[in-house]
Amino acid sequence: MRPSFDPVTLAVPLFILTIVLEIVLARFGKVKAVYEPKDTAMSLLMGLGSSVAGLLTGGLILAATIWVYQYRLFTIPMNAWWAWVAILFAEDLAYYGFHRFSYERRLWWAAHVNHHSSQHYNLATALRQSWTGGINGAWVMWLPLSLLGFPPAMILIQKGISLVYQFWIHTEAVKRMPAWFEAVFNTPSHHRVHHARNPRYLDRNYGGILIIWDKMFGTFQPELDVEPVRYGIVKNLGGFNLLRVAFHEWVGMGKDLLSAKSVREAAGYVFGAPGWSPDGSRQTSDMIRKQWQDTQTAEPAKTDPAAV
Amino acid sequence: MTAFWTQFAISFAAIGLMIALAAWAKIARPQPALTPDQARKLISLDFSGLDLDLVWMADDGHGAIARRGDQALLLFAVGDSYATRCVAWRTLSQVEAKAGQVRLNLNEFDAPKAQFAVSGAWPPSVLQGAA
Ligand SMILES: [Zn+2]
Ligand SMILES: [Zn+2]
Repeated sequence: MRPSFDPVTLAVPLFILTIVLEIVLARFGKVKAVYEPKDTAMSLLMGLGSSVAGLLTGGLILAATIWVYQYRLFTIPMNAWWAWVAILFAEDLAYYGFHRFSYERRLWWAAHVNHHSSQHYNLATALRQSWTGGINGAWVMWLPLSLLGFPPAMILIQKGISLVYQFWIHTEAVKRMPAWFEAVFNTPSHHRVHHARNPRYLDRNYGGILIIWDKMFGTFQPELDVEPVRYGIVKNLGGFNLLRVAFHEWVGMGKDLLSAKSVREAAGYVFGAPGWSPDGSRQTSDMIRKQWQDTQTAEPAKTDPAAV
Repeated sequence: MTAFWTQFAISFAAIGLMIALAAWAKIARPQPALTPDQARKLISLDFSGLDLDLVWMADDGHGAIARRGDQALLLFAVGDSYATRCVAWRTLSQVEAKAGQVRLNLNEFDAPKAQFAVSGAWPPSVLQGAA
């Protein structure tokens, strides 16, 4: 279900044109961009598939949004300029909450991991969207906006604007934006850190349009020139198969549930942090970061082992 | 609804063109054969705190295997990048090399198999005594 004015649909031609431009400019050495055709195919097809998945679950999400709106605390007018300023901040905070929780609970990570499973970072990666974000209930993070009194159509439009904003930051072509911009907004540099698997960068920079939440809540990490980003997930995918890309974490979670020996274990596999295991034999990102911190000497990394 | 599926079809065609363009551009990561040192570094990024002196290199330099007791740590190419997995040494030693390739069934949904170019004896003698 989409509102009559859908920023994402309107932006599709822009997505296509800029991806074409990024590839062509990289081909002639004008910008930095790395595209592996099979990886590109996975990212773009995940994007297309997510629009179909959205059709299936969008109705339910909209119904819940409208239901909560009945009990709104205020009535915020859609045609007031201040309301749009307010929703920019409010929606972005909701996005921050959703995004951060997606790294702290496997049930939500199982969907969000789709966006991060590429070892590349380009405009096509931006379109690598989850197919299962509608079924794990992560959208409840936006319901408080309805309760506050933002009209459901306004919330949907602002969610779309945020998604469109986040498209352009998925690029290596832009090194740094002006300092004032980097200070306030999410940028290619900040979001490269978010897509990294380096222990130093794990679980950082959750912001959508703004980076201020990360700075406020202690999850901000600037990109360091001494530590080039290695993209992907802790356990990278071993092939290119769309169904495996879309469902691997769900299948992993299902297998773990079948092997669970108690309700506590089952709950841990679903609601624990990604990488949680009853005996600690697997690693969560906190464990990886701790291990890395322990092995760190005062000297920061000067080489990039992945750049081989 | 018709509008949605029309857009879906157009997007699908555009995706085909973008993939073709990416293939034409040849802007994937260059993948020269790894040196043992590079392979060791890549493996130790994912399995840290290990002594990885003994590493077997795939014939084409696009993969490597290290041994940790009864486990084998695999580094194998995925497109222009690499992935790592861990399997039982027994599994590795029971596989046969065919036509210069060893294909390992990893039985993992997110990494069904790994492939290595091999010319010498299998399993690699350099790892045999590394337990
Ligand atoms: Zn994320
Ligand atoms: Zn992203």
